[in-house]
Amino acid sequence: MLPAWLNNPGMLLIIAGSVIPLLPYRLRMVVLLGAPAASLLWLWQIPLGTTTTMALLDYTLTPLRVDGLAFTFGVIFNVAAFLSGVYMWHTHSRLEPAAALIYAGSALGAVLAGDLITLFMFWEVTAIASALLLVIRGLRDAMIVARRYLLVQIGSGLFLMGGAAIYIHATGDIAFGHIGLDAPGGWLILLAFGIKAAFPLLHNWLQDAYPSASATGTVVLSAFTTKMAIYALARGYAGTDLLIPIGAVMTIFPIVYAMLANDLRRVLSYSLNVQLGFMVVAVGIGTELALNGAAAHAVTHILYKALLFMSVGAVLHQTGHVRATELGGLARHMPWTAAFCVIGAASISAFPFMAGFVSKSLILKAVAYEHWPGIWITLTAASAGALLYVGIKIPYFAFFAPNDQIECKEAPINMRLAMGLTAIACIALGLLPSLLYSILPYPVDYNPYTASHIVSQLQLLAFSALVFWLAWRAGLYPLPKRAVHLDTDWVYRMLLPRFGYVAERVYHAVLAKFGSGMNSVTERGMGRLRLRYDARGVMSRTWSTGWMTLWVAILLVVYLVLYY
Amino acid sequence: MLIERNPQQYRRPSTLARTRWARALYVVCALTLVPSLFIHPHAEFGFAEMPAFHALLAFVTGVVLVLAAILLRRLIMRGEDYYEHRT
Repeated sequence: MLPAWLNNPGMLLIIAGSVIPLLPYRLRMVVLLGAPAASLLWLWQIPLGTTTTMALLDYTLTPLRVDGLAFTFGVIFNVAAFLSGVYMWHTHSRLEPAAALIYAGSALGAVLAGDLITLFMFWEVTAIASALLLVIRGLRDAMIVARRYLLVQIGSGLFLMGGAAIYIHATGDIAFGHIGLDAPGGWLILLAFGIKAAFPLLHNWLQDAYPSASATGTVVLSAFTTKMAIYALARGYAGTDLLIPIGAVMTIFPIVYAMLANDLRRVLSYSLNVQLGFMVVAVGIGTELALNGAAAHAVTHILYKALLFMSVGAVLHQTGHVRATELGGLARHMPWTAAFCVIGAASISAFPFMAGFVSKSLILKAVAYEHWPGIWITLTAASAGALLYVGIKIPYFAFFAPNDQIECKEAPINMRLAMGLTAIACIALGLLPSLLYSILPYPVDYNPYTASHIVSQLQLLAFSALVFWLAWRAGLYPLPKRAVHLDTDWVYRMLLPRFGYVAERVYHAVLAKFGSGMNSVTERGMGRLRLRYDARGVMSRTWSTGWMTLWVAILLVVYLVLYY
Repeated sequence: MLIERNPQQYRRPSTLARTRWARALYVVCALTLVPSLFIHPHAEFGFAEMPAFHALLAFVTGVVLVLAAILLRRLIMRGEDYYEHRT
């Protein structure tokens, strides 16, 4: 019998990820694929309703809780880990598979966590492991992005910790169930989830970081963090009306950014944001049908978004380019990748008989049942827009736009295999919705394939394509340009540094003007300060990290002792 | 070494293939409208039962989005090295 903290499919992936760097190449690859497969089988045979508990200090933790909602997300996380394993099979990096498995394992652990403390621990591990995926690319820009990314992710963790502490203190209950906004700490926890779910204005870490990872890293990144947040929202805030307008805004405004973006992975990141909006609306509706819709959309979305990131990643891997201005005409050189990309694009645009169609229909149905006509129109419109910003844009600019300046070979066999498997999954879930329904949290009684529904969907797609064509011909469609389009990251990349700069200038100006009169006073003060604080002063000596860690540890111990 | 393409390059004179695709698109658009004459839609809301509601919605949305993108680009587009020249 395993100890309770180990008795968790997520821990299996984390441990597998931790030993992977020590193994030789072939064994590494066996573990990379074997661990998610074993974890999936393990999860599959755990009966729904199972929980395990363990004691930690005064609390009873629940490291494992498998119910319908956790099961759906657990299954798709394992599948995503497996598919991205196939996709990175060719890599000789030791760290990338390790980071990917630890990241997937911690996301899985968070989804299976039954209490807030366990959730918080896995929440933080996902932040660190995913930042590692950015760092190991080793590029200078990627390092800077990774730092920004980590700050945001750890920030989310801090809000979760603060919120959870208030919640646990007030209720005495550490179980992770429905929280709601009225609960003590409820707003803080929502903020923590909202950052990772890329709520409007909190979203920009996503489009900042995902395009900076390696071709394989982005595929891994796209699957877990945001969907873990959707799971957490569904668990803690189902039926919170506030989420409905938030989600609706998320489905619209990133579309325009996606239309403008040049980097194809940035386009996909904005479109990821749109799809998250659909799930957030569904969570806000909060009925069984809606939660099924949110979970189903998380499943299909992970698949088709991974497929799109894989195809664009394959292009990056083969050509070294990923911006629309530099690509085009690759369908001749990479016919398989092009075909898989088109399948992914059809799926995200919700073509009938594709996975996206089934899950989006569930959400729209749930919105209609609860009588939100405005929201229903918004989501339907966003669904029509999908063709404009990603459905046509990605395949066209990567594979079909006129460009005869790039020569390259087809993607490696493992990448094609991963894309092929994902594409098959997208089509299978579209053709056989019952497959998808069988892993959803609640029983489903809904058939998306009625004549009138298919006809209206085809109208939506055909006329959306018509707008694209007419705008294109009229020269109105915004062509990709090598440029920066400002988003909320401007605040912390430009405004705050500028503010600091201006403050410094003002300070110097004031000093220059009034400084002389103050000189004698300040000189004496400064002299004393310098003694301690200048380059050789006691307070500004540089210390090694080891010493600092020691001092921090000592401070913590002192604090603990004083506290007790 | 890659040269940035002239935007005009995307709009080369319509080739035969392109005209064919465009014609196919017009035909498909027309075809999707045909069934709404016969099938009474079981829509979720009264207004959505209007024939060709989805076609209209898609068209309006598309036009609005394209215009919004054009306007937004005017407001927020900066040089490629914008963030590298800060302060």
